[in-house]
Amino acid sequence: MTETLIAGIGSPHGADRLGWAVIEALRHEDLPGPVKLVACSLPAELTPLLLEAPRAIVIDALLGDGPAGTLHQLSMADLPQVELRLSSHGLGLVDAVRLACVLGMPAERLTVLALDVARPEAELQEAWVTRLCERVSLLLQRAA
Amino acid sequence: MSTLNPKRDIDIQVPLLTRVEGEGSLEFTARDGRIEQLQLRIFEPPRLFEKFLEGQDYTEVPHIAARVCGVCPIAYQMTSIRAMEHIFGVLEDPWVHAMRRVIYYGEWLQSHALHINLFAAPDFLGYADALQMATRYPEEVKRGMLLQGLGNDMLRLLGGRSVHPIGLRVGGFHRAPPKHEVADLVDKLLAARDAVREFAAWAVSLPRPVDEQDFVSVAIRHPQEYGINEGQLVSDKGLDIPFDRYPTHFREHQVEHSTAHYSMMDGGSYFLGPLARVNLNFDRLPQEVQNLAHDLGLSFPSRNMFMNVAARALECHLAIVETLDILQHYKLPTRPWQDYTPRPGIGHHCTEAPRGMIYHRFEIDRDGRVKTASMIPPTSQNQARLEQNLHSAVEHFGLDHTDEALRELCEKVIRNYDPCLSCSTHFLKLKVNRE
Repeated sequence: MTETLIAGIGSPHGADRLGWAVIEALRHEDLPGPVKLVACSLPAELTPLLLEAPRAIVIDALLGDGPAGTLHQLSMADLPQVELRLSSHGLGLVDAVRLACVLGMPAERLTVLALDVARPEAELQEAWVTRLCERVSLLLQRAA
Repeated sequence: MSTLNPKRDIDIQVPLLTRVEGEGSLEFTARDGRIEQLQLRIFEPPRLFEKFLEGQDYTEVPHIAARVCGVCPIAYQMTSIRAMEHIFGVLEDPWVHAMRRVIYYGEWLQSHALHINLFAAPDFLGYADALQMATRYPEEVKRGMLLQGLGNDMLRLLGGRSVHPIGLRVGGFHRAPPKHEVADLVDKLLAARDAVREFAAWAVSLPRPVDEQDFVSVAIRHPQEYGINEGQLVSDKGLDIPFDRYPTHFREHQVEHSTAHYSMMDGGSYFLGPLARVNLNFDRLPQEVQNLAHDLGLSFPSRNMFMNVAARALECHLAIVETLDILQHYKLPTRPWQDYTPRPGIGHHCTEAPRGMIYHRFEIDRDGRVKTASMIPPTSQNQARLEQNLHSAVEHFGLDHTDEALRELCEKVIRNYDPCLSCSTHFLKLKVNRE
């Protein structure tokens, strides 16, 4: 059965921990199918992982229009086609994913789960983590 | 082909430079065949980290200093730690010294590989950005990303994580990595040995321009090893001083067009970074790295500014060669740090960040708190040289080229320094006139 990469992007503080918290929670779940769970600090770490993965789900916190807790399930086509503005500190999720596509990752391999945390200083909500874990499980069941 | 009237009015504005860190712009005007204005304007707001540090307990300094830079946290941590260790009378033990080189090499490798792969190579190969270049050079880009990832692995081994590492402390490290973790990294390093040689050869083969300049290289030089953490500050014009004499030779001043300070050495500009290091320390490179340089037809010292990319590539090779040498003989220490007693005083230290020498001065009070701090990063020290470089490169190139060609040249010159504009805005003196 095909292994699915599940990558959570995050940092140690506030709502930005979301990606890491979901990966940690998934480690304790009985997931349908083989998975590779990875917590990333930098979106740049994603590109080589995506190139190796037969299928990938990427989880990240999003600063959107709200309300907080809104979950967006995005494909490659949904990601903004903004100009790539690489900087040594600023390779973003979209840049990393687009680079992976240029380097040969088929776009249909990827699903991005982005949860709107509304404010960067927001506290991480356990309900957000639960919701994301459920969605990951659902995606894995459908793919199985 | 030069076809345009060099005496035409030229007005080139690049409001936001790309493929550099932070926010800066280029302003270039010329009239009657003369350059009127050619400036890198850094408009990042001042960061005020030195003020944030005042009053903090000395143990907090490494964690706060790491936040100055997302790419070079080790430079800020290491330099501040060593400055404070001078105050406390800590003599670095050999295990700590070796591990500090390993973690610093991790930072160099991830920063250099990223710069060569995604920032510099598109310039030299004529692509607007890394995405366009990656369609033509996918395997080269993947190889660069592998090396960047390996640099992050080296950071994680001793720092706990690659972003804002937490493993460093005054006296050494919080944790010695167990042997199995070291063995895993050694396997990866061995597997990357050919890749880094190929990466260096590719970087050296890039069609880089020739930009011969008269500049003063400044770097750390050590009696036995390639200067990173310890040694003396030297230049190719005779400077040879201990770190605590930095303030007597180097002075910062403000300029109107930049929130970063300019820094002068004995009244003149100077150049820091990989090319300055290799120019001054080629004989300190391990023989394997010197051999690679010879195999690739490289010769140092070099006055061609664009040899910076070749020097950066050699340092990627160096990072893997020396880290392997250290970690293949790894032994667990009794304890990964040394004891010391905090005491008041003033300490100075310099280390070599990926972009060049960084200087820190710390004053600690009798309660172990920071009284004053000064952190002078390489980009602000390079700024005066960079602008001189822009002027001479444009004069050499000729104003009879198109505005597009002139703009491209200026952007290449700026990116060649791999400037970190956010770090460079380390402190701005504020003078308020109230009437």
